[in-house]
Amino acid sequence: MTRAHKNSEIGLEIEPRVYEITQEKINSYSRRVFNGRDTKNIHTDDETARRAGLPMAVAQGRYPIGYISEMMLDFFGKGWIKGGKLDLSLVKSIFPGDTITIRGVIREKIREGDFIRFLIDIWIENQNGEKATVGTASGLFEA
Amino acid sequence: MKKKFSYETIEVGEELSRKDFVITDEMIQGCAHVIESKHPWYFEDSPFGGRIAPPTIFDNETLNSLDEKYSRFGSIHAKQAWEFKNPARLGKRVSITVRVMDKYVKRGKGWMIMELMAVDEDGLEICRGKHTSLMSLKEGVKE
Repeated sequence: MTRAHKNSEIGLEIEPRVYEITQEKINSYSRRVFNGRDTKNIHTDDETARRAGLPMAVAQGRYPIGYISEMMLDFFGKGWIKGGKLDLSLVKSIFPGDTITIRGVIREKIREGDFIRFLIDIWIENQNGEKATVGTASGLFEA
Repeated sequence: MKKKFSYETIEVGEELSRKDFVITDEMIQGCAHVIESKHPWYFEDSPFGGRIAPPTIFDNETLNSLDEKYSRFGSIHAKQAWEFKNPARLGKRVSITVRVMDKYVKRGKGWMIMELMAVDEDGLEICRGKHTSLMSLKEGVKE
């Protein structure tokens, strides 16, 4: 993992993270939502998803955001827990069978009192290079 | 009785829920599991003194709160913002408030923005989340 510090250059790409999205992982997330129960919904059931106009079951939009947060936690450490920010647009569905890659590039460094806020362009792309989630993440390092 | 979920019935400023949680080992493990994290701060100790939860631990509470008040037939999660301000510590009681921040029409479709705010028993703000949804899905289909 590339560890950033206050002298890291703008344009530095953080080491990407790759995750396989499976139906079982999506179901597991859904069980967490429904207190451990299995339910039929657009995330867990192809037929329900098709009735909603989707081609098949889709991953919950918020589920891969947890992966982004973990990547940022490893990048910023304490400055993610106290000072982390995410601002994301979910522009394309993620499906079971997709392989997603989370990528981030340092866009800007902004002084905030005793800290420097690193603003990072962040996105999730699928195995075809199509962006599914785009936006920014930022966190703090001591100046 | 739940209210009908529609652009017309959603009230800006409405408080959808106010709940207290105690951060448990089960909650931390459940959240870490779905985001495939074995981060030592969740399972052993952290620089904040004791175990903490993944920052996205409350990611389901916004929609859960909406579903407790409205009979939602579906919606599409379009945007998500988070601000992480302090750690959610194991064993601490956290109060979560979810409210409707805004609604608007764009390209003929209804959109709504909900805000989640989490504060712990010491009065420390843990996080703030902003969830933007496109409200239109085919009626009768549950997300």
